[in-house]
Amino acid sequence: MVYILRVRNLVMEYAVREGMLRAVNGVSLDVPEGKITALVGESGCGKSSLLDAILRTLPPNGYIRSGEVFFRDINLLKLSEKELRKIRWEKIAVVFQAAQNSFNPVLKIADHIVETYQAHRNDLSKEAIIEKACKLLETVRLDPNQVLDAYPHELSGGMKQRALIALSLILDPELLILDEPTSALDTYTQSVIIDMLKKVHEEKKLTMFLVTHDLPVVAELADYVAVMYGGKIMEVADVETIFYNAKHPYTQLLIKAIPPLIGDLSDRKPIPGNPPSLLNPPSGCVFHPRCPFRKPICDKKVPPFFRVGNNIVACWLYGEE
Amino acid sequence: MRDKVIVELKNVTKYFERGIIRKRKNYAVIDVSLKIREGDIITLIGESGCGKTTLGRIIAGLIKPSKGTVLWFGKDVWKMKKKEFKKYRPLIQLVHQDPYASLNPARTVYQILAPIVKKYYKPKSAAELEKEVKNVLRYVGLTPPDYFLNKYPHHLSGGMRQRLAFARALIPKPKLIVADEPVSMIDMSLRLSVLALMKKFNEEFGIAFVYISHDIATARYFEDKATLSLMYLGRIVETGPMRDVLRNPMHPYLRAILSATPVPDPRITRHKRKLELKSLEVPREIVMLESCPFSPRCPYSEEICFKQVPPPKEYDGHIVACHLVDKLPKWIPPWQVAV
Amino acid sequence: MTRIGKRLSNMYYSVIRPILKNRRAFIGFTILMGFVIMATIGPLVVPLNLKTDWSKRFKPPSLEHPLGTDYGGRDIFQQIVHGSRDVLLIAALSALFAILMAVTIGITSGLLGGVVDVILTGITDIFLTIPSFPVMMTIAAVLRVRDPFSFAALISVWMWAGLARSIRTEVASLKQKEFIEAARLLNLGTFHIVFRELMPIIMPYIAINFITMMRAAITASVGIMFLGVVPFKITHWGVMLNMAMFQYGAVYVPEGVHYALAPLMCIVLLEYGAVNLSHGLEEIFNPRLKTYE
Repeated sequence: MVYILRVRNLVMEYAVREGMLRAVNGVSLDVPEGKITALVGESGCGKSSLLDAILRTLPPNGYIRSGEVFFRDINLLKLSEKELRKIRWEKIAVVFQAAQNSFNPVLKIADHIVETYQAHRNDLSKEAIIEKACKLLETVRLDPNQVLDAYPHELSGGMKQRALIALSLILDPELLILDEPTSALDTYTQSVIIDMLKKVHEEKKLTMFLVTHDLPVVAELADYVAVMYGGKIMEVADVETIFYNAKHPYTQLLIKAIPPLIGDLSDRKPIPGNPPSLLNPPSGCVFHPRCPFRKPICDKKVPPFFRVGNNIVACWLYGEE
Repeated sequence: MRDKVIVELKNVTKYFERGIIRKRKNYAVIDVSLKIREGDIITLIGESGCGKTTLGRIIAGLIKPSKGTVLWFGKDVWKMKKKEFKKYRPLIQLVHQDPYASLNPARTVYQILAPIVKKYYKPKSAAELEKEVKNVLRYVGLTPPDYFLNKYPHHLSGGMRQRLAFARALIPKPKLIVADEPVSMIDMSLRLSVLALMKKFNEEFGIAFVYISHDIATARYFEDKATLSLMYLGRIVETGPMRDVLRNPMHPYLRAILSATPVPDPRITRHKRKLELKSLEVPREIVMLESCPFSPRCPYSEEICFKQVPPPKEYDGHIVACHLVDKLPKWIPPWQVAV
Repeated sequence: MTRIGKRLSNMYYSVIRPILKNRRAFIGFTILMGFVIMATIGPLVVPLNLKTDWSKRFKPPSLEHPLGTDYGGRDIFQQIVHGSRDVLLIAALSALFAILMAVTIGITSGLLGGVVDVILTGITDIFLTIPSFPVMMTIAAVLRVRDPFSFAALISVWMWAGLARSIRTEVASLKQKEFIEAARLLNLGTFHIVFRELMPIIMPYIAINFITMMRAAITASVGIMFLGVVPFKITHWGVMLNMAMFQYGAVYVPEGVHYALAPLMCIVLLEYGAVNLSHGLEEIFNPRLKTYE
């Protein structure tokens, strides 16, 4: 398996009034090429911060303390702004949450697409770019005649999101990163976007990295799933293993805590306790205060990854020191 | 008395006027009638923009309808005198969606609850006041109470803040609480605990609920006794006991949503059949007042659907607003696949 | 812990400790505290001897006269200490009156809206556009202002408008917030909304403005007296400056320069303290002010 994106021991902090907030606390992750990988976690788990660190879009009070991020063999953290710009959009494209603000409000969609293309390459004429855009818009089930000449505010939220996905594909990137691509969309539109992402993935064999809190969406789309909590990765496995045979207590409890549309309600329970403080994280395993299976070692030492069957789990239930 | 009607809406319509020169009417709610009895749980389901929040606020007496009447305990809310309204006001409460905005960031938990406890419980001393406040905190699961008294909202997680908002709404012993998307902004692992709290209020105090959400799955938590009312573009298109409605959805829009909702089970969710709609977009033009609102997107629509607003009719215990209920194919749950 | 004990400890952690930790606030606070002590205890401890002794004119600073003597041989340090009382009193009173007016008008205007809002905003705008200093000066001369209260009242009239405007805007936007609606749903009443919901939020802002206004009042009062419009008390720093500059030519006489410098340095130091404290408070409270944006 070829890994297109590899994160190694990334540590990232925010400087806030009360001290240093460690949002990403030693995260290592491998994203396989040609597959859809999902990073799942609740609010405050650090997944958005991890993305910011990978893409180097940190706010002024964010600091990467240590670690490496490899895109193929290039260490993204060591690149200059200029070199980074060559990678952004051409090799790695990003669709951010709430697409509404990603479009320039004073440009027509067509102009925005052309400008974006020309900012990176000048090998195609304007007409050729538009032609390519038309095909992409059709892939996302948008009518090019309607959309190309429109301004962003004339399109609905769902249309903008799809147009943004089309825009992200204009330079044929190798990796598409999506940050909560279906939040703030209604159920039907969400299912349309999911279908469309599946189609794009099949047609272009495009590697996708999806960051979300929405487990049902993960069940629909992902091939591989990484579960994040309190700034650390808890478990990594293929999608069926995660949902049917999760090994980490957090993953198991999380799946049990989702109110289901179908099926039995009676065994659903919320996870007791509260999300951990990232200013003063718990000692040892970050989940131990809420874990019903905790052992004495759990609050003393941070568990490493153990390989158990199809799962990679960071939990002392599955190994010794 | 179990059958006493608390709130009744009769043919309520609400539109907002936009524009300065060319005034346009934006219809949020169209011709809605409903009755809420003591201890009922009504779920209002719909996508963003369908009018459920507006309807919830009309029920709570915060928005005056453009047409129709709102009755609280049999009295017309908008014709009452101020004094009378004040008497009924605490009995109908509303919990907001955003637990970050519904609490004053400059007040501690104690400072938020104490004035309300003081007003409604009339404790005889400061010590008794503190005791009552702690009791309230214990009841909603914010224990140990001493830990929380001096905390500010930004010290609490979303789930805790929402419990505090519910605690606040509980103090005046209301008959009805309108909960507007109360769990949408809370982490998935904590949602059930807030839903359980609402159930507790309903079972132990007989408080009726209007639960507004875009997510049917969370509404299912109440399926034992709740009714489901589905809204689309301002109208209620299907209403019925939740279990029945989910087992046998009649309105095409409900069928489309149910088949499109992802479930946290990869084998089922990837193989389920989706009901295809004719158009992916919710129409942005002026709402149709003379035809079925769903007709442009409905895969089954016929000529009559574009000409006449379907009147709500009863079928098998549901009330459905659709011309073609009898003609629709039998509903096979999309999850019935050979796994 | 008792209720009062808890309240005090809350205040310590939310107000006093941040001030001690923030450098600018600490500096400003110390300087201002120093002057407050000078103004309150000073005149009780330091005697005031205004008898002229021409033999001791314009003596430079020494152990006997820490800041030297003025044109009449009188000790400058004594005058500074006694003058500080009036300077600070006028400044504090002006800020107090101005804040009372701004808060009343701002909250009423923002909360009630409608016609009341339009009228009050109109009045506020008028006061904002009139050039304050010349008008203040003229009125002060015409009305022969002599005591600290009238002086403070006069200054405050031209200071409240800006703060009233900001408060109005803030209240108008807070009015829409969900927690205010919740208070209404619970029949908690307007008194509660104003004093228990709105005030705690705008308090930090008011505190910062209090310091800023004090500073502006110092400048205004010293300025007016410096220009000789109001012959207040001889010990007021503005009057001292006036006399130093215009009447006794202290600036031209090299030996007399300390007579002008002393009040000048005190004014500068006091304003420096005020600026630092207000900026420090802003830094402390700003993140909190931001959390509900």
